[in-house]
Amino acid sequence: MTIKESPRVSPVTGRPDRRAGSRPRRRSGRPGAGTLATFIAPGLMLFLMFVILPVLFAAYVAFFRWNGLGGVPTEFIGLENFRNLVQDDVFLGDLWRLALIVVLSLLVQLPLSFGLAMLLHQRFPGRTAFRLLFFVPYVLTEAVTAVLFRLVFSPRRGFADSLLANLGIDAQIGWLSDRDIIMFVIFGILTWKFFGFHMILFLAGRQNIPDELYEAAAIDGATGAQAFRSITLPLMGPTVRMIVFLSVIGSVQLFDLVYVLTGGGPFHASETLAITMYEQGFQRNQIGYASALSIAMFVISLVFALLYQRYVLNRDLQGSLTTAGGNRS
Amino acid sequence: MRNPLLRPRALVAAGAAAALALTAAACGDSGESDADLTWWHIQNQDPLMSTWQEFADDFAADNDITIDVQAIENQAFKDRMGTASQSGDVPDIFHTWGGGVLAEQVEAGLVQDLTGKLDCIDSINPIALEPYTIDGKLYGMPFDAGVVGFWYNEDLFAQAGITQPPATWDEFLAAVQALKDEGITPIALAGADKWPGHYYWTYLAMRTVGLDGLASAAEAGDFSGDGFVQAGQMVADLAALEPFQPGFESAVYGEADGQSATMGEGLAAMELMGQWAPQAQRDNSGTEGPENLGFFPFPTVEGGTGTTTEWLGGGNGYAVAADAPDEALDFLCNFMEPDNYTRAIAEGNLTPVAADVAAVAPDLNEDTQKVVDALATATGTQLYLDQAYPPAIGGVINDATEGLLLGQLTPEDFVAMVNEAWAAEA
Amino acid sequence: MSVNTRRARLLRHTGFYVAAFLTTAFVATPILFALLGGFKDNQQLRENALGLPSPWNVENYTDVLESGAFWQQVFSSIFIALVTTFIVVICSAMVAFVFARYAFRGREGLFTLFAAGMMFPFAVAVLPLFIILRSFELLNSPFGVILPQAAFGLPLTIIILRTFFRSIPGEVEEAATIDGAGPWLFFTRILLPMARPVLATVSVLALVGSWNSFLLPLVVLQKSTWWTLPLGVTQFSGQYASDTAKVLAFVMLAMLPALVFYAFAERHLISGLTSGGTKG
Repeated sequence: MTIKESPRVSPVTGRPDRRAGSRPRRRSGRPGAGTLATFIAPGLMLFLMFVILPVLFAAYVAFFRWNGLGGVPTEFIGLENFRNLVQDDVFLGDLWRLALIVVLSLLVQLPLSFGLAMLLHQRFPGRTAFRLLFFVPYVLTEAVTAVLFRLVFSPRRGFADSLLANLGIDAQIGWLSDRDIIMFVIFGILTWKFFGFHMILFLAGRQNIPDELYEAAAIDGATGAQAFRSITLPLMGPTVRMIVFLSVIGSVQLFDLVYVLTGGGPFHASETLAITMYEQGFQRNQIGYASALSIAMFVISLVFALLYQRYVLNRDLQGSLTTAGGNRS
Repeated sequence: MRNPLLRPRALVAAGAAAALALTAAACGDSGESDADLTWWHIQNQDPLMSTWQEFADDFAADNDITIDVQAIENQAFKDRMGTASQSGDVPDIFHTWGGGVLAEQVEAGLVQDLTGKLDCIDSINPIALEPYTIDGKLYGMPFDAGVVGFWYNEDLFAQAGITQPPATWDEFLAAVQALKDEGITPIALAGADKWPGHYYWTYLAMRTVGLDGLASAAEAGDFSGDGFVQAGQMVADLAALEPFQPGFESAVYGEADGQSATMGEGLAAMELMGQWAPQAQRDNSGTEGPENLGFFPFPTVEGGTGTTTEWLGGGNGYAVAADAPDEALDFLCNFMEPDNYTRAIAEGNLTPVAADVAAVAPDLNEDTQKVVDALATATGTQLYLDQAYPPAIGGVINDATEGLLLGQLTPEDFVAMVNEAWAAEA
Repeated sequence: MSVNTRRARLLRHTGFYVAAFLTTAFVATPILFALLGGFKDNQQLRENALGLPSPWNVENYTDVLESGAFWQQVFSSIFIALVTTFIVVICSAMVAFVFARYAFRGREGLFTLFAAGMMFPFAVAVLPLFIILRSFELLNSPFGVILPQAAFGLPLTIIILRTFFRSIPGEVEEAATIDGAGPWLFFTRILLPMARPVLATVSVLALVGSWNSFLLPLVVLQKSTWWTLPLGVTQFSGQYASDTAKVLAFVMLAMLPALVFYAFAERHLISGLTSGGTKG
């Protein structure tokens, strides 16, 4: 085998980089543009075709009235779909419900998961088993979960009612039929489904805080509460910020669970953006209008993500979204 | 040379697995099922589900073809049919109610023109063909046709001291109140499905403005007339009495706790439903249904032009995909073979569409007989609005009726929404 | 150890267990309901919603297990998940490799483009995707599900893999180059094998994502030939709407593969998820 002369390999990056900075930056052995293109092409094609193109296409169709049955959209109506959208009570309600879910998640679900993570960080017999168990709902498919909960909350002599009756609470609760509580029932199911996931993330974040910090604090005479306030909370910051981000982006596209559970009802009381989009697009054949809704969802996510990146995460994408994939354990 | 962490076997294995996977997928690539015919129907309950399967099996065996039969629940069927229509790839034979939904599918070039192609068409009552006839051409074959009316539990009515089925809306509301006073749930309703609710508004509109009024409103796309607002108000009035079973808002028609089962178990006094209701009550409740089940037409409204002989109704039929093989047509006629059709009527309690009813169904079930009698004296019929109108409008009517029933919309909102939908469709 | 601290610890432990058991009840109750409900008949479900089945009735489970539809859906789900994973991991690894180890004009822009994909809610794209798939004639085909899923899986996978590839010391590449290995050889023979733990992690993420996917199969697969389990469960619950016990059995069986998989791949799954969500 020929031995190439140049020992200079690994021209890592053109820009200063925290991670790569320690390595010698030498440039040569650089493969030709053709080789690079071959590596990138399959992924890029896939990405352009099935991620970028659909979004552009939706942006185009949003300016037409189109029932989607064959052919291409022809009836250009300018911004009318968007004008209708901002006057659509269902759409506005979707936004309101989105806000409700996000607020409830932040105020109830995340503190709960955080607390459980702190609990499971303590050493006590059986904690591994609990950790494994609490994560189980997250593994289950949302659609399957929804079918299950539909049966749990079925109206006559349903499981939930029987359970309450057994506990001495004989209330006829319209779990899925009462417009005033449906969002809270859904939030309860979402909590059931996702608290384990958030707990695991918090737990990982907590385990990354070196014990030495606490030892040092203890030597300085800090109480547990003080250590919690001045070490745990600040150092958990990145994890918290990330979970909030995931939680919001996840809420924007909430579909499977609610669609199977209630179909968005009763009378839109539990409808989400994605359900409205699905109904308009696939059941009423209003492809143009549904596309406008898709674009609205896109803009909401994008604006949120950009603002969040800019003002909250305030650091580069790769640093916050990921690090060291999975080689922690 | 350095020995890299080379795992040739692993790579080969992965590659082979992928190749295998791709090949396997390529076979199913077009997504066509391997069967020669695909058939989607909504008879997802026995006995008819098995009967239909048997028909398909027998036909397949006789003609040496394969048939992929899918029994799909009503609401899920509508969802999937919507997506399939947009995909431009509908099953060879599919359930249809005719009307505007079928018309839109026809317009998209998805449905085969059956005019003059079905040998068995002469055996069918021409009136039953109307919902499937668009611009003078036939696009579907009915196997059942009937009307919507109130199916009521006579024993519960008697218990509440109601001796005579209500003939006017006021009497009807009084009956609802009497039932409530007796502690009986007056009406079973599947709120989540929306379509059962839309019968109420439609019937009330038919009674206030009459069939002609409804037709001209649809023609003009304008439902602003007083009669329509009044109909909406009456739906709201009814809902205000809280006549429905607890949890009706999230109930679906065919679930264990749904509308049909509630009636079947005798837990509600009546439901406004089509000809299939008695059979569905038995199927969904797993009981024999109410011992004494009666049927009465939707009451008249004082001052309204509609009469009790004008029925909301429709039937069930099958349409054939534009690109379906000829066997699909033969299969439809196979249904109408006297032996098969007689059996289907008997087992599923279908309401026959045969030109000569006595020939195929000499001995009709007593519930079915009530529907047949109603049809015989009908002076006019209106197809279910959510099928008669294009999906965008039918969807709005269903949705808005739910809003009325739940007190979330005013009658004026309702009219505005429907008008807006028509305007957008124009 | 003083009595005091021992008592404090005992108290603390009691607190832990109370909280842990309450949470356990919260988590386990619905699942037990499905598991036991599947062994009841509908009569029992009505009259004895809470208790143990009596008699135990295996018919619901055996009915489902004997139905061809269930196994067809298991197969479809597995097949679609495997091929999705294969495609997304291979494509991402190649892209991530270039991003991690070579500088070229437009690299940052391209990377940002991919990374931005993380922020697209999938639901945004489903409607136009449907129309695009329609024109490619990919509807009702497993690839109509696989390719978009793989495409949407790229961003996270690329980000995770890029980070890992960057962390491999330059000396490894140097040595390979000295041995005459070009980028292809280096990538396939050295980098990928070294990355096996990370590849396992991203594979698990892709598998789980595909397994749970519902909206895309819902619109792409109208014909049951390729239905995945989530579609199958919802269809089954509609078709047997009045037979609650049987639906519960189906639900339980549909959950089982995920539970078994979790039992075996728990470590990879959790490390994958945490790598997406926290700083390492």
